[in-house]
Amino acid sequence: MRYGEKKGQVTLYIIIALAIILVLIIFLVYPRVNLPGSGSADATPEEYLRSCIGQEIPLIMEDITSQGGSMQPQGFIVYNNTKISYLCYTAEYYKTCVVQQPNLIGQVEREISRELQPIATSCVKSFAEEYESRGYKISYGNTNVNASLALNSIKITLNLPMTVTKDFSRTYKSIDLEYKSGIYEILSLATSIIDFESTYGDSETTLYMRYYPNIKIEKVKLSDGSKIYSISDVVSKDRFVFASRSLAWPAGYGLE
Amino acid sequence: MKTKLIFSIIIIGAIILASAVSAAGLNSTVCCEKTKADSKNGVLYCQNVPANECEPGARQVPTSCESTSYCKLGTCYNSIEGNCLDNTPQSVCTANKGIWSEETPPQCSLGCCVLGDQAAFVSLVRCKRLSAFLGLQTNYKPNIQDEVQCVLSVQNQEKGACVYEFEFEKTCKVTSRAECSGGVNGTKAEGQFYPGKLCSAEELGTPCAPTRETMCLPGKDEVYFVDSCGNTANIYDASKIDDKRYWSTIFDKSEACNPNSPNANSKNCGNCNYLQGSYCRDAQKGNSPTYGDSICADLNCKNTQNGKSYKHGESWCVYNDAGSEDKANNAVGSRFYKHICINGEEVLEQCADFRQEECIEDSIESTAGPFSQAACRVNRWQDCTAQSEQIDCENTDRRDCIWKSGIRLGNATGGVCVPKNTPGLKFWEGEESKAICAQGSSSCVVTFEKGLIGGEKCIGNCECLTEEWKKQRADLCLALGDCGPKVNWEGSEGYKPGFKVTIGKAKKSK
Repeated sequence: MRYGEKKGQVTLYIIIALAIILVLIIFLVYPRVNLPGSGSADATPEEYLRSCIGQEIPLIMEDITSQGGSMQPQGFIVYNNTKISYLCYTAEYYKTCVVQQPNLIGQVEREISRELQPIATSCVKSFAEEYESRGYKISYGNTNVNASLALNSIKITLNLPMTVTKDFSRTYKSIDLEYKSGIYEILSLATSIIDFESTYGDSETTLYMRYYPNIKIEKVKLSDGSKIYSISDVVSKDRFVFASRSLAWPAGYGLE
Repeated sequence: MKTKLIFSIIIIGAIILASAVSAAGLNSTVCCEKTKADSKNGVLYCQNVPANECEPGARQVPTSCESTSYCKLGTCYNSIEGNCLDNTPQSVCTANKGIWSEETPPQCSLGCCVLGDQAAFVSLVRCKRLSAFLGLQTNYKPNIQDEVQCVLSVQNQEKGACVYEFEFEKTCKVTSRAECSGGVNGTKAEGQFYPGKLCSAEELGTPCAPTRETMCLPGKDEVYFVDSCGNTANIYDASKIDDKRYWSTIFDKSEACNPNSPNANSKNCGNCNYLQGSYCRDAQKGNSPTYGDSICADLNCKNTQNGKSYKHGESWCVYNDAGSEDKANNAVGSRFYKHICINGEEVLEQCADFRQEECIEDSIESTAGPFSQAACRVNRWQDCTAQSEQIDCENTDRRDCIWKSGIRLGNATGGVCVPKNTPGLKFWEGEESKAICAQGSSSCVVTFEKGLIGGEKCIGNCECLTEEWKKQRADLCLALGDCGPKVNWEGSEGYKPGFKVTIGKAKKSK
């Protein structure tokens, strides 16, 4: 090998070594620089909170929707050891029911907001702690959660005054998060069934199922005249369960 | 002294009377705005209940709720969602941020809301809300006053490729002419409309190209091809994946593959037909189509509980408990069931307990053959035993009874009218079931004539001594309700025979 070639090779090695050192320095000094494949270590506040809150949403939704839209139902029937809200009820025989919850979607939104409040506060706190440990300065105020249901989604607005500072500063007034869910459509159907129950004393579930191909409605008639409705989406697997007591018939003549 | 005594008696009498009135008041029915919380049903609103079940402090009036102001039923209008709910008490509506009115308010009047190529028959506010969800401009037609017309109005819309500029780039969307000229995707971008064309048509010069992907569309039966811009193209047909004409012109459903077949589970054709029992769904493992991830899923039910196959949406009656139906001999605890075929699954729905409802079934003729429909209907058994004529008994417009000849009950001659499907009774509590069953009790005075040299001969009501008479009376008991020698829904007999025959000497009439 000629001397000139050998010199060039050494220079190349030095350049490669310097490049590696430079990359390492950049990686250590500026840890938030997103390198390809560096994962979510430097997720934005939105991403962090979406992930943190998103883990809890299915559990909260399951509790709310399996009990007729309330975490702690007020007027209820106990069925399979679960309290299920009466959305329409009459204590009498031969009478159609009286609507107990005319704003079902609003009720579910309020329940989600209330249940998410401590979770969101905890998520914000853990976000701040994690980012402060990485050298960020986080200042934030009280978190206020507002949930709203829409077609195919649940929208969560975190009213959260927050400033994230390091080499830059970013201020947030609120953070909007969106999760996929078909519960809005199911609650709209439940409202329609309540309307039928209160007007005619019963509802024809087969018609709904024929009209909405992805919807499955199960109705269980109990011996006291109560009905348990379970509306589910066979594709998204979202489900809502509620109770009604309307146009109940007693055993015999019901004279007692 | 005497006056004092009289005065004391009056006072004591008044106290007793007041206590009695007060006790009666506690149990008298009131319209209660909010009931007391109990472990069985919790708190309920606007119920006619005994006064002692009403929450202290809640409004209550000893009258029907319809006559009160706070529990009067009316329409509750939700101004956010834009929907209206009838039969809602005023206090419940206002407590839930609704607007209550006794009569249906004008906000609740319905019209046709056009949502792209779909439509909903809803109120104006509801239309605005749905349009906002979908990112569409509100297109409300209050003059269409019929849901069918509303749906038809969007089906006849001319569709084609709408080429427009978005963020300085040429793009395309398959839509209606109206949406194309009125702003695509909720933007103000007005596009150029090419009727009957797809965005992947080469002559349009759009960046949208054919792909091998497919998708299901909300409200559509079929599997559709999708272009590189995310637009739906024609119905999935594996044989036309590279056919330029198929990717440039909109083809009707009738022009697509196998238009007269449901194409259930077909790997190559996505022309599903909901009425024939197939619908676009994500393909399951082991049942993948040649291209894409969607397939015409089979929604029909095969080999159901009764061994028959049914189409999606069909319903039928099942009564498979012990005893028999329509023969005045139903088993204790038995009930009618309505079975429904939904999404390839057999779902069952009970009719009301105590056989207060029975299942009725009929079949209609459709283009795809007979279509079975069932429903639970009230069992009108209550006045059967009051009928003394067969013609009244068997009047199916009025009641559900059958005539049993040769049995006597009350004033009926030549037979007895009994429920076709006997009502269930709560025989384990109360006295009502005893009273109903007691109608079947009978005493028969048999007359004997003594012979001159001993022995005796039956000369009157001799039939009462036969086994046949005993059986007839037992049948009558069975037909009245859960009475007599019945079996339960599993076929198990009771602990007692269910009836008793006592023979004794009749008292001589004076």
